[in-house]
Amino acid sequence: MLAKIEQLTKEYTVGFGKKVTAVRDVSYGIPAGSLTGIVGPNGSGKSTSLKALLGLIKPTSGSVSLFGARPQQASVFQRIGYLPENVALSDTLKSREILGYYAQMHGMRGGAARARIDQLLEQVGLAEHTRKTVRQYSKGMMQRLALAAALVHDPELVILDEPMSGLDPIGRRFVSDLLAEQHRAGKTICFSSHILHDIEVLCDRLVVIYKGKLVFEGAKEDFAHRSMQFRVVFAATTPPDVNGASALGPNTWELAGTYDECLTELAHLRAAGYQIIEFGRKGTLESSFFELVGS
Amino acid sequence: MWPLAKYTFLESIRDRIYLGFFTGLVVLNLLFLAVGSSPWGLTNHIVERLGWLAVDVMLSLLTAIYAVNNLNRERERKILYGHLTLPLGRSRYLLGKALGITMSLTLLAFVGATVIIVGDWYLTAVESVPFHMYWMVPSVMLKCMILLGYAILLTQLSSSALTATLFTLGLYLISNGAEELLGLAANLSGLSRTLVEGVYYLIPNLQLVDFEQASLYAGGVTPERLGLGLGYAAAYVTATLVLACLVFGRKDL
Repeated sequence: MLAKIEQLTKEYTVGFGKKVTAVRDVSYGIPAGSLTGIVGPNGSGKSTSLKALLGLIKPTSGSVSLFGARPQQASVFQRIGYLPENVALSDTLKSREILGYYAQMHGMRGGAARARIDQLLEQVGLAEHTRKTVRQYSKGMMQRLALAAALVHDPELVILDEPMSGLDPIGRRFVSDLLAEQHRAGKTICFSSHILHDIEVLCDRLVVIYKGKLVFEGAKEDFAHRSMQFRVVFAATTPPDVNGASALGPNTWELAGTYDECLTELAHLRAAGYQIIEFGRKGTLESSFFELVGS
Repeated sequence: MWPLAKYTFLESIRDRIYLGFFTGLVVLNLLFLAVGSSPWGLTNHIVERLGWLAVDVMLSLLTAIYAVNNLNRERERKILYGHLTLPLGRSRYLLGKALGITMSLTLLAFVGATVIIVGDWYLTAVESVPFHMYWMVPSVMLKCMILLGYAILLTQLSSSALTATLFTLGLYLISNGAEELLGLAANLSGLSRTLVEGVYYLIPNLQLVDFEQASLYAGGVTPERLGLGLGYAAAYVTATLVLACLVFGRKDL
């Protein structure tokens, strides 16, 4: 595991000693080479767990580690790129100055740093906007610049907090393509989102947090098998002698259930000689998510 | 830390607050010079004094307002998260910020000083430029650095930019009359005397780093006076920054 959160609890005091628990006993890890999506509604504790992981807030109890070290050790950040939620950058500076600062902080100097900055500006589509200050940038442009800043030192682990929040469809597509490209290049990526479609398309691992508690952690397929609705569509000229089958159309019938239930029915249908037309997911990650959290 | 200092310097000198003070200071000094060179004008000593007063007050105000504003803005807009997830550390973040802001204040102090010195040279029509007046720059800068240390500490202790700015400005006003507190203590007795003396030692004594008389009228600052001022300012700035780092190191962001 490149990063690990163990039994993290974080409480905030909100005036006159009243306490609010943002996350309680949350444990999850980010394995090397994975593209992990942290999913949950707003206020579920996704950002809190990421901030604790990066040492920006101190856990009330539990522990966090990055590359086996405490996040208070500045050296671990040589290996991490981070994009905060609702990113803001110093608005009087220009893109090259900001990327130059990030590169220098990671020990990059001279021609190598300049070449990397040029490459990234090209990659994020800001090469033509280097004369503008950040104040003149749109939200999408600022997000892309911040993403370039997080990637300037070619980190092993990239952590992004709601990277697609507030972006238009083109901006979202751009960020998803860049994340997929980084993942193909062997980077470990972890990002939080409440947009389930983005998670479904991009991630191979899921961490589901709801009301400050961990609901699921594991491979996306496991999540699908555990909580998604599946269906078997088969052909029968007469009403089949199968419990729960519903007519989809003339001579076409459907059986729905969990992955395991559908597998059992599939075996029965094959044994009874029915022609199988389709076996697959019925719902989306979104419908499964709502089923899982019971709402 | 040096890249952060450069970054802070660059963002400071392009900031609207800084540019406003920069323009205000230059315009004010040019105005004093214009009045000084007019037939009904002031004497060049008064022009000088007014000019240095403007530099001193404007830089102190800028220190209190800009330092608090810069740090608070980074915290509120979460720009801070970007810095603190670099191989930097919280203490070095504060020190880098302090260094960058000091660099931008020094630039303004030099520009202000140059306008006054060149103006003085023009008004008095002497052959040589009165370079000894540049001794006012370290005097003004030492005051600003003490205030900056306090501004950074108060920003960490306060959740609002307004309270941190007001406390820093209040401290500036009291600190300029620190010696008077000793005079007041001498007239008191018992607990009230101890309290006033306590306040005297707690607040910075900006009069210890004030070289105005020596710079303007004695042709320069003596090494003893300079050493005392530097030592005092260094100790004060170190103490406030260490405290600020301790508070910041324990904070949830």
